[in-house]
Order: sequence, then structure tokens, then C-alpha cells
Amino acid sequence: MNAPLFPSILISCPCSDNVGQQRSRRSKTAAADPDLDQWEEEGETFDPRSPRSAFSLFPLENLLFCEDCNQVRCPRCVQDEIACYFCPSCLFEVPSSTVKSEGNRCTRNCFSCPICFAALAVTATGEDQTGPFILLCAHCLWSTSDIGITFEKPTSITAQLTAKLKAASLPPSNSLAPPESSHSRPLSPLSQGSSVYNFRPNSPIPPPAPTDEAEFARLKGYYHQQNTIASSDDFGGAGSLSRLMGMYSTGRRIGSYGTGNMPKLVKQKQEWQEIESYRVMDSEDEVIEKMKKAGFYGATSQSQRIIQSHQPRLLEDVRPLAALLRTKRAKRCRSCRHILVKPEQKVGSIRYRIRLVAGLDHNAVNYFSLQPLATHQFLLTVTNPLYDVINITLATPEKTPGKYPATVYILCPEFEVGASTDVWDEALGPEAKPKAKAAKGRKTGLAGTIWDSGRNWTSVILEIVPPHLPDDVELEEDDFIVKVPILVRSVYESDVDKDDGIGKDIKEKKEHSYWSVLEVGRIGKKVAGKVGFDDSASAGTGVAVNKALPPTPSGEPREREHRDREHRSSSRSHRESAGAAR
Amino acid sequence: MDPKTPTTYRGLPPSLRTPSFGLPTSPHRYTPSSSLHNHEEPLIFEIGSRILRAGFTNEPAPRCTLAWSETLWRRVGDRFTSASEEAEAKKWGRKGGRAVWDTGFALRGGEDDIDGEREGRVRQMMGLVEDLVERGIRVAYNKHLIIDSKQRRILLPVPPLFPTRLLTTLLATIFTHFQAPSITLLSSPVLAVVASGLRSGLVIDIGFHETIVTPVYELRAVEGRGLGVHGRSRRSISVLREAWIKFLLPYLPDVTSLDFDEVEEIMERLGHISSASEHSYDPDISIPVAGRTIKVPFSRLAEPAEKTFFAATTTQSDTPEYGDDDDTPLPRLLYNALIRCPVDVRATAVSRIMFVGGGARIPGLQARVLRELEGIVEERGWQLGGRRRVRRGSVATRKGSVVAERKGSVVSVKKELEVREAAPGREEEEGEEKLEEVLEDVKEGSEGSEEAEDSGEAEDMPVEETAREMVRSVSARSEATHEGDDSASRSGKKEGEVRGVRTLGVWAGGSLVAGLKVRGKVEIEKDKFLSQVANGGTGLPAGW
Ligand SMILES: [Zn+2]
Ligand SMILES: [Zn+2]
Ligand SMILES: [Zn+2]
Ligand SMILES: [Zn+2]
Repeated sequence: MNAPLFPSILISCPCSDNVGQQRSRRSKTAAADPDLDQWEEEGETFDPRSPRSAFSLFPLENLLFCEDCNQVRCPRCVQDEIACYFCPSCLFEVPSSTVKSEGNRCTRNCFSCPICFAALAVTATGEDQTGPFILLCAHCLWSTSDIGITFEKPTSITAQLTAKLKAASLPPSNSLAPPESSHSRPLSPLSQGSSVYNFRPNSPIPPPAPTDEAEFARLKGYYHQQNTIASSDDFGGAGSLSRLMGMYSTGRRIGSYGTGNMPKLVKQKQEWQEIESYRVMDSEDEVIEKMKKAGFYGATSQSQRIIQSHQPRLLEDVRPLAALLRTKRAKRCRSCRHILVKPEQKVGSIRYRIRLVAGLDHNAVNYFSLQPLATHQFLLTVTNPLYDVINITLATPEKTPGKYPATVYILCPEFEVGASTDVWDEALGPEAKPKAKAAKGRKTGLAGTIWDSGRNWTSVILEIVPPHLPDDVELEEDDFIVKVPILVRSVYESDVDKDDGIGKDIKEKKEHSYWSVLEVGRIGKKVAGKVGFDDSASAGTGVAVNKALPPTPSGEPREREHRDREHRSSSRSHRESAGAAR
Repeated sequence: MDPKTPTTYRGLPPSLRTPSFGLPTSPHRYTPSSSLHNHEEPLIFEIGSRILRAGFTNEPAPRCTLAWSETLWRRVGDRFTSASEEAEAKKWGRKGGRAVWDTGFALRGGEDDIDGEREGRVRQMMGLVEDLVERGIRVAYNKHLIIDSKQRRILLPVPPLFPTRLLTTLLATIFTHFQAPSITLLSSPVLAVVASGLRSGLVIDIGFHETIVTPVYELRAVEGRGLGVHGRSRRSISVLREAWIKFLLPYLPDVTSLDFDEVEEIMERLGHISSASEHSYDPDISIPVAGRTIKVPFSRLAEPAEKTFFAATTTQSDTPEYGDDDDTPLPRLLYNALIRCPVDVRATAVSRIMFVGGGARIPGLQARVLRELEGIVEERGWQLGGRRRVRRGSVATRKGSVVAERKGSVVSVKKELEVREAAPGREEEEGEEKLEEVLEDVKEGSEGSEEAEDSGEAEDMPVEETAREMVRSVSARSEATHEGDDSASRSGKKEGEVRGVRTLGVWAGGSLVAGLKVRGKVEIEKDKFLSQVANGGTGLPAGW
């Protein structure tokens, strides 16, 4: 993905507001006066540098719009509903009845590499495409032969692999019956005064360690058996079960459970028994020896280990990963449960019906370097997907939030945008842009005037003066990015729903507002060649007008240095009016 | 009865598919499901500050094990799309290795916070917890479990003394974003014990921010008795990571800071506690770090973990021989917890010691902890009468060296003992300790005081405080009881040997318990919880 990076526009979804938290004390007092409360909420500037903003800001293509709630819906405030399961590799659809028992994984020949997670291919190792076969990663060249596994035939790999792993990990005799083997020792009487260490220091013949999986099966069987006994006795299992359930009994933490209580417990006949044998701690000397031999590069990385259910330490113990199934899902609005996206729509071809009432647009130009303390101009274009004319108010703080604030001016923060004639074309994305029409704007660049407008869009100029970043401080990447929070508020009148038959000609005033964040670019700062950013783009002209949007017949770049001063005072007054509008 | 026996995972033999039973546990609470999945079976979510584990009842391992990696912290559509860009970004301060929360910080919210600044930060952290946990759980549901979230009950293991506010945030996040009808809370250490097949044990959880020791007796976590203070230590994975950074930097002249992710990778792959004898093969290990490769003898790679978990102290201090209360080395921490247990509990727990948490994975660590614990027990016994203690210094040193000879390196114990001998101020602390021990003796000796402890609120009051109050009234009596204690300590070995037991871990314990279809008493219901929280409550039952 090499999409242009700057400038970009992100929309803030308001759904994340400390669900588990009481309101802060400050807003609690404010809550006494609802108006005040609302004022406060909207009066707070959205801070794009807050760590939480990473979770509430989304590019437009990740958002949906619920028309019933008149609200943006982001991936976290929609409810997913699975329609069907399929393997992303072989595209087989898997019936939901077998999905879970098959571990949510494809049971055909689809595996991914345990090292680099790319897809593995069944590959013949013999001449003329004969066996034995291996699973081979074309990306990093890992293959199952690295862990000593080859297959006789190129089909039913899953079954073959299961059989081979089973043969390798289990002792010859079937040990799935509760083993009395030496790996677990009877719980010796406590009085046994032995001082021998019980973590089995290098016993001469180490018994085969049962896998955790086998041990789990043994424990599960044992607990179920206990459950049977308990439920068949007269107490109805009360002695054991309720105690187990009371593990976290409400109210008091159990201070102590000492001598005083013992007799009572002993009296109960159907006592929940401890399992007769359990696994004592193994010596890990052998593991350490293996680590020593494997070194850094023979050990699994955290991501390689964590993805395998047996959490192997060494690369020699990894297993090919059966492909995880994927799903087709419907997405519903979390609050009103309306379906926002239907599952039958093909993945990849979904054109989300976004209707942001007013789409703030800003086509990206190429990677952008901003010059400190110089004025850069951008064209902000608001497109209107509605059949009604909308009135837009853009509000932005004079100084952007952060340690090194940039100065922001919107030359014309209040304006009108014409109605759309074809709502959906407009909402479906940038490629559905209206054809260039005779521009209504005069392109004067004067404060208080729009730059340009078309049938259902209007452009205004946004001016940014990036800060000078200090040389003597260690800066974070984030400090270099100029992020401008913009509150977009749209007011329009639309027809009242006609369902009741009487509202036909009644217009209703509607209002919608949301925070968006415009990331205009990176402050070009020579940083000892450490970062590979090409500063040449800014070095020459320093032209900052967005040329791409909308296709203006004569979108000539503007020299901003001298323009800057003459408009500063007048644009200030407009910012103030924007402030008053909030 | 119920034909829908839980589907076994990976073809376990039918003999283990025991039929499920019609338990007399309020059957009306189960909504019969027409689906092929067993909807009444809860999902088990183990939410740690570094790892999320999620999976199904009756399965041996979680379907989803997710590290809270940088990817999850990143904004959707973030511009760092390639690995190289990510690397560039890291140079500029994105250091990775973040934990979702800081338990200590969560606990400190509020009261004396006049300007609301700290409260603001706590709120911010809780907000981030919500954001991140929501994202992680969504990944678990959509990518690994592949099920719809609604109508699935959740079983949530909770560590002892988990900050209420954090718990409320976690519950609210699950209820709000995933519509679970109810969440059952179960004690993490108890589940660890269940996952070993036992009913009692001593669970030591070596986590990211702290290490917590919890005795479990008859499937109940023993709390109070000063365990809240003395069963915890800051020795943890985060301290270990710092130790690794300190260890690596001298190899890297002109490097001043390291990337956390990179350091964690090294410590996960190579960290261990040595046990082998000196003359064994000791190759140089090549380690890629900070853009270059360094070579370090394998045996030296044990140093950070040894320092972190066994050294007398990990903090800079004028008197390093007296560690802070929260800076106890692990063997000593276990001892401190055990000595605060009632005799029965101790006798049982000491031979059922189990390790969970990230630190449990460090090879050799468990054996070393047990070895040193045994050294301490041999040296001190459980009841420390006056006579024995007077001679302790010399006895201990001798013992220490014997131990060392026999079992390889117990450097820190030896050091500790030497220091103890040399330090004159030790008398005072011994005095303190004696008070505690007297108190313990009294507690254990008389049922009356134990009852008091049971019902009292004194749980987490520092034992010393209590001891000082009580010692005046009971000192005479304690003198008298020392005789008896001594005889008890002579037979002290009968209390049980130090022994480690393997557990399948907290998550597996949850899976087993859920499979029994018992319902915990602490079951939080969605609507009730959310309305309580909306009214300013914690949503948790009284007693939390
Ligand atoms: Zn949202
Ligand atoms: Zn497939
Ligand atoms: Zn590969
Ligand atoms: Zn809705």
C-alpha cells in the first residue's frame, strides 16, 4: 500500500467515553446544568495527540453511518454478525456445525508458515513430482522437513500431519488413560521427612513428558468423575460443588481457613478428592541446554511462539499453522440494531454507504514537508451528499494541541454548500466527484470569502504556520506531524418523514457535528540524515496549495509568503466568529 | 440428559467424554439453545496487562493468545505501514513493550488529589484500558474464536486484590461493547490450583508489574494476615526488563536507550537461571541489538534474571541490605507468605508450590526459587524461638555455604547472610521480625485470635503495627509458648517438604471449572451492573 500519506483526514467517532468510569468531578457539577454540560463537552477541543485518539480516529473508509441514529459508526460501535465461514486460502465454505470442532481452521491443505506466516505450498521433493511431499514456504523457505516431517501423498495433509505429530509426541503405549506413570507421583504422606528435591533433578531415564493437552484431558476426566460422584450423593453435590463455586464468595475475603474449620470439612463424606497423581516440577536443565545450543536465532520470537497453542521455545518445535477460517459478517448499529452492511456483499467490493451529512474532503497530495514558520495554504473542500442545502461551520483552535503548536486560520469558516442531486454518487467516494463546473468562487483568497464552489461542494482556504521545532530537545515522531482538529458542524432543513402522512411539506431543522483531524504534513526538519524523509519537496517552491481538489481549471499555486501578512488580521475576526458559533 | 456433550478438541477418546449431568444448580438460568454450539458454555477471558487469552470451555488451550503489541495500540490506517517505517518511528520514541495498565497507578487514584490532575490521568488510563481491551477482544471474537459476541457468558479470572476501578472498567468494556449477559469472576490463583488437579497450594504469579504469592486452601484463596503486603513484591517482568537493559548497554558504547520490544525479544529467547556446573560448555551467543551484533557467553545471560529475582535488593539504597517491603526476593517472598499462613495451610501449601505468569517461563527459575526457599526453611524453621535466633548468624553462614556447595549457586542467599552478619543494625530489624513472629505464634496458638482475624478488618493492616499493639499484652504468654513452639519446630519437617507442582495455568483452570457447569457466586449481570455504574457505583458486589 503506497497511498499518499499527507494530508489526510480522520474522523472522530464519539462512541468511546469511559464506559466504566463515573463522570469526573468537574463535569459532575456541570451536569447539574444540562446546558452548561453540553457547552463544556463541545467546548473542549478534540486533542489528536491524546493517546486515546488512536482509538477514536478513523479514515473515512472505515466508517459507516447509521441513518436512524444520525450518527457515525466506527468498527467499535457496530455489532458483527457472522453469516458464513470460509477458508481464505482454498475459499471453501465451511458449515457452521463443524467450525468449532475443527478449531476454526481449514482441514484441507491450507497452512501458513510458522516462521513468517506466509502461505505454505504442498511441494514434491522427488523427481517428476513424486513424493515425499513437504509443506514449503516460498517466502522464507522454511519447510516441514525442517522439523522432520514429510508426507506420503499430496492430499489430506491435515490428517497426515495429525497422525505424525501424535506419533511423535506420545509414548508408544496409549497413555490417555489416567496414567500412573512415573511422571506423576502419588501425593506422598505429608509426614514423609524427605529432603530430596522434587523437581526431578536429571533422573537417569527421563520419562516421556506428557503434553499439556494430555494432562488437561486427564484432569477434565477426573473432575467430571468427581462431579458424577458428588451429584449422586444425597447432598446433591453441595459439599464439593458449592464450595468450588464459593471460590470467590461474595462479601468477605476468606481471611483464613485454619484449624477451626477443618473438622467440619472432614466430616463430609463425599469429599471432593484431590487427584491421586499430579505433575511435579520438572528440572529444566535440559531446556537450558537446548537454548544454549539454539542461541538467539534458534529460539522462537514472541510472535512465533504465541501463535502456537503449545508455545514452543525453539524453532525446532514449531508446527505449521492450519489456516484460520474467516467469516462474512453483517454489521449492525450497536444502539438501534439496524443493519448497516449486509453480509452477501462481497468482501472487497463493499461500498459502504457513508453519509456523513457533510463530507470534509481533502485529496491527498504527495508526501509533504512543511517549512517551519512559513504559511502554508490548503484547500478544504466540503461536499454535500444531501438533497438539501447545508450550512457549514468549521471551528478550529487557533493553536493546535501539543507541545509545539502550529497556528491555524480558516479564512472563511462559515459558508453554504449546495444540494446534491445524486446522493449516492457523492457518498460513494472520491472517484464520483462532480465534473468541474463553472467556478462560483472568485478565488481571491481574501478572508471571509470562499475559494471556490460547485454544485454541491465548497472550498475554503486553510492556513497553517508550523512551529519551529527546537534542535536541542529529543523529539518524538509525533511532534513532527501537524495535526489540526476541526469541528465540522452542519445545519440543514429537510423534509420530515412522510410516514405519518401529514408531514409532507413540513421542514425540520437538523444539525450534525463531528470532530475531524486533518494531518497536513510533517515539519521538514533536517535530522542528521537519520530519517529518510526527502526534504527536497519543500526546499524549492514551498508551494502548499492543494492542487488536486477539486479539479479547478486554474488551480495555480499561490505564493503565500507575502499574502500571509495582509490577511492575518482579517482572518482573525473570522476565527472569532467561528468561536462564537460554538 | 443434555445430548450436547461439549465437543472435544482434537479428537480425545470417547471415554473422556463424560455425559453432562443435570446439576441441581438452578437450571432455570440456562437458556436452552437450539444452535449447534453450546451457548450456555461461557468463554474464558484471561485479561492480563501484557497478554489476552481467550477461548472455549473444556479446551486445553486458549484459541487466542494475543500480546498487547504495538499493532493494537496503533490507529486504524496509521501511516506506519511498513516494517521499515515502523523501525524509523521507533527511533523517534515509540518504544513498544507497553502494558495495558499499571496496577499500582490504578490503585493510587483519587483521594488526596486536590487539583484533579492525577484523577485525570487515572481516567485517561482507564479510558485507554477500555480502548485497548475492546480492540483486543474484538480481534479475539472476530479472528480467533470466530463467533458472535452476544449471548455468550464470560468467565473472568481475577488476581487477588485487583484494583476495583480496573475491574469495573474491564467489566464495563465487555458488557458495553460485546453485550455479554453475565460475567463470572473467579480467583486466578484458585484456578491455577484447579489446573494442577489439587485443592490446595501456594501460587506464585510472576507478572509484569508485580509478583504475588497466594496460598490456596481447599479451593479458597487465603487472604489477609498481612499477605496483601508481605505476599507481594515489585520483582517482576518490568524490573527484569530494566535489568536486561542495564546488562546490555555496556556492550553497546554510544547507545543510550534500547527499544523495549527488542530487549523483550532477547530476554524471552535467552533469559534463564543457571543451574549447570561451571565447567560445562559455555558458548558465546550472538545477539542482534540496536542495529549490531554482540557476543555474550551464555552463562552470563542468566545474570539479569538472577539479579531481578534473587538479589537482596533491586533498588538503589544506602542500606541495600534492608530491602523495601515491596522489594523482596522471590524465595524470601514465598517464605514470608508461608509463615503468615495458619499451620495447616502452610503444611499443605509448602509442598504444592506452583508458578504462573510470565516469569514462570524463565527456565531454571522455579527450581532455583524452591532450592533457596528450602535453604531458608532449613535455616529458620517456621517457628522462630528466641534461642534459635540468637545463634542464627553463624549457623546460617555455615548452612549457607553447605547449601551452596551442594546445589551450585545460591549466591544471593550467601550474600544476604554475610551482609546480615556484618550489619549491626540488623538487631533492630530482627526485633521487628520477632514481633511479627510472636504475633503469628499467638494467632496460631489460639483460636480466639484467629476468629478475630477472620471477622476483623485488620487484614491488610501492617502486621508490625498490630504486633506492636499486641505484643505488650501477650509477651509474657508468648515466652511461655515458645517452649511449645520449639517442640513444634523440631518436628517442623513433618509440615511438609518444599516441592513444586506443575499447573496448566489460570486459563486452563478456568476452562476446567467452566466445563463443570457450576456457577460462581460472583456472577455479574449486565443490566444490573451497567445501571449501577451509571449511578456512580462500582457495579461489583459488596466486599470488593
Ligand atoms: Zn464508534
Ligand atoms: Zn483451506
Ligand atoms: Zn515462511
Ligand atoms: Zn443506529
